[in-house]
Amino acid sequence: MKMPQNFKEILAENAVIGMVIPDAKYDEMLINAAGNLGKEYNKILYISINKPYKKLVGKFKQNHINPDKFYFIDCITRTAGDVNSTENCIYVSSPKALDEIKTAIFDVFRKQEIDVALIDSPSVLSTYYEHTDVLKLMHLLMTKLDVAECKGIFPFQKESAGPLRRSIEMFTDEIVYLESDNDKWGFKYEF
Amino acid sequence: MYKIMVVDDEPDVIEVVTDILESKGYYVIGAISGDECLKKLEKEQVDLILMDFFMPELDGRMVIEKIRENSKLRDTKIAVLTSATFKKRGVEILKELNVLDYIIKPFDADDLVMRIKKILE
Repeated sequence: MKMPQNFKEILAENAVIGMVIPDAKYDEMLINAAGNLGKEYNKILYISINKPYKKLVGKFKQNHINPDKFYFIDCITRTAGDVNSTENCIYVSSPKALDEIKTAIFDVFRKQEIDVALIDSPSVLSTYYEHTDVLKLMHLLMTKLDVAECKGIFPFQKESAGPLRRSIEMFTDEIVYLESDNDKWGFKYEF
Repeated sequence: MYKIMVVDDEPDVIEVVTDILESKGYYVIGAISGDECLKKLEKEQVDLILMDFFMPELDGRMVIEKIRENSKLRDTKIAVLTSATFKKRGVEILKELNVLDYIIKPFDADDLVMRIKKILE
């Protein structure tokens, strides 16, 4: 099988992919992946379960990624105090507010034309919810992506994601590994 | 008489499927969780398992994998009966696990019976 070179190539044949990243490089490689998505697509939905919007935007700027190409759902900032949603970020009251997360996802797809959605990360959700509730949320998101004809990326920590990754794999078209070779990174299909 | 196990965390689904299948002459056993399914299978073998996917603790894939790993149970016929829609990778996994059919809820009773008959005969 030919090795895919970029997201557009992978997502041309697969609407939803699972993306496996080594734990030690997870945050760094996910930012790299977001940067590549930003180069390849016009509007990306970034659903952050445990990273504040401001911190993410700071990281994006450090890595020369244009945050204007992204629309964010931030599930963590409001746990530390009230904050108003901005033009490109919806703040959900807490990662535990499952219905609010669903409403925010629906709102974004109603108001924005999204090319790709990335959820960072499904396995963090298992800290807050039962296994089956996480699966149902991911299934709902997959269905929403299908209806909106939008692509989806579900990233997972390679070593620590546990059984959830195997279950969510059912809602993907393909699983790809991100591999780090010093400063370079690339894709590898799982066979 | 064929023996069918219906595994679903919603008792109403077990009841409805049981009513449909008993009216066609099948013997039906219900299991409310993956764990209960595995415990019941230790005591009695069945001809077919209808497996839900969205279940707490052990989801459908996990339960099917445990059945396939068990030398006494691994040849049991299994069909998935679920509200979940699986994508390409998911369907491949069902094939790898030798799942014989994938029936989506809500289902048509006549269609369900026809598909079960096809699997068993």
